Amino acid sequence: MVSVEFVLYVASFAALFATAAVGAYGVLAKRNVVKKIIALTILGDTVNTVAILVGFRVSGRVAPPVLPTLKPSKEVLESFASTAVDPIPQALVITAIVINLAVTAFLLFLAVRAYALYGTLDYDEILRLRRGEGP
Amino acid sequence: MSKALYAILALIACAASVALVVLGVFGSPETLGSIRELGRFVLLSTFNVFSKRWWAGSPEAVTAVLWDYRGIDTVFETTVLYAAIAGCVALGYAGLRKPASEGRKEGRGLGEGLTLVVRAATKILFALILITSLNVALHGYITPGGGFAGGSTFAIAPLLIIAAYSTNAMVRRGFSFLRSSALRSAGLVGLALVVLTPLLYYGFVLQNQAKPGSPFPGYPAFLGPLFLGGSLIYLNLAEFLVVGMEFIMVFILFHVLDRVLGGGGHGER
Repeated sequence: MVSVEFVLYVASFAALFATAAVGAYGVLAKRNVVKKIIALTILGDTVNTVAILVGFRVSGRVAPPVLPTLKPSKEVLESFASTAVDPIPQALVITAIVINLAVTAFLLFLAVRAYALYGTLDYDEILRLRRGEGP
Repeated sequence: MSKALYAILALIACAASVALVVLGVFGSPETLGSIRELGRFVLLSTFNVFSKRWWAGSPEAVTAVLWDYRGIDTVFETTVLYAAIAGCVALGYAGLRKPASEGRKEGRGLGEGLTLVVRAATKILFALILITSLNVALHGYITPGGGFAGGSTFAIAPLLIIAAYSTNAMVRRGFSFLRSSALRSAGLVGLALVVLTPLLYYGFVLQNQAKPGSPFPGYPAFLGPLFLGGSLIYLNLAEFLVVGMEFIMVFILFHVLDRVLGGGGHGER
C-alpha cells in the first residue's frame, strides 16, 4: 500500500523537475542576458531543493538534524539517529546557495560590462556586433 | 534554433532526470523511512558524549558536516566565493574610482532616498537584522544557521540603507568599500588561523576535536559552564565576516556601476 507521504514525495519531485525544465528552457531559449541569469538562478535553487529532498525521511517520525539537548542519554542519541533527516545534503546546499549568489553577482557584472560595451543585452545582437556586422 | 526545439530539449532532460531519480534515488517505498549510512554515522557520532572517537562537539549535525567532517570542501567553497567576488571587483573597479569622489560633493548623492516612513522603518529593521544575523552566526553550532546563513542575512542590511537613503549615507556610516574589503580579509585570515593552528601541534589541517593519530588535543568544547563547540564557533564567526562583507562590497560596486552607466536607478540609457 502506497502511503500519502510517498505520493506527496513523488509529486514534489515531479514539480521540482518541471521547475528545473522551466529554468533550463529559460537558459537556452531566452535572448536577453538578464533573463538567462534569472532562469539560471531558478535552475540552481531547484536543484538545491532536490538535493535536500533526497535526504528526507518519507515515512515514520521526522526530526531536524539538531540534537535538542547538550546532555544526551544513549536512548536520545539512538532515537535522534533514527528520526533526524540526512544532514549531508543540507550541508552541501548551504554552501551551494552562497556560491550561487556570488556566481550570479559575477554574471550580472559581466552583463553590466557587456551593456556598457555593446549598448544591448540581447545575446544574438551582441554576437552579431562582435562579428562586426553592425546593428 | 527555434524556441520549440529548446522547449522539447528541456522537457526531454526533465523526463530523463525524473526517470533516473525514480530508478536510482527512491529505491522501494519501504526503505524511504531510513537515510543513507553516512548520514546515520554523522547523526550518531556528531555529539556522541559516550564515544568521542569521531565526535565533532556540536549537536548541530549540519554545521558539524560543514566545518568538521567535510571541512576541506567548505574551505574551498570559500575560495570559490572569494574568486567570484574578486572577479566582480576586477570588472567593476574601472568604474569605481570616478564616482566615489563625485558622490561626496553631491552630499546625499543621486536619488534623494525614499520617504520618511521608509527611512524610519529602515533604521529599526537595520538593528533587527544586525541582531538576527549575529545570533544566527554565533549560535550556528547549536541551532540551525552558521556563518553562511548569518553573513547572507547581514548583507541585506546595507542593501536596505542603499535603497532607503543612498550609497553615500552608507559610506558615511562606515560601510565603505575599502573598510568592508579589510574586514573581509580579516575574516579570511581568522579562517586560515583556525584551520592551520592544529598544524603547530602536529595535528591535522581543520582538526576540530581530538582524533586518533593526532597529538592535537582539539579546540575546547566546553569552557566552564559555557558550551563552545570546538572550532566551529570561530569558523562560523570568520565565515560570517567573509560572506557578509563580500556581499556588501558587491552591492556597493553595483550601485556605483549603475551610476557610471548613467542609469541612476532607471536602467535604460
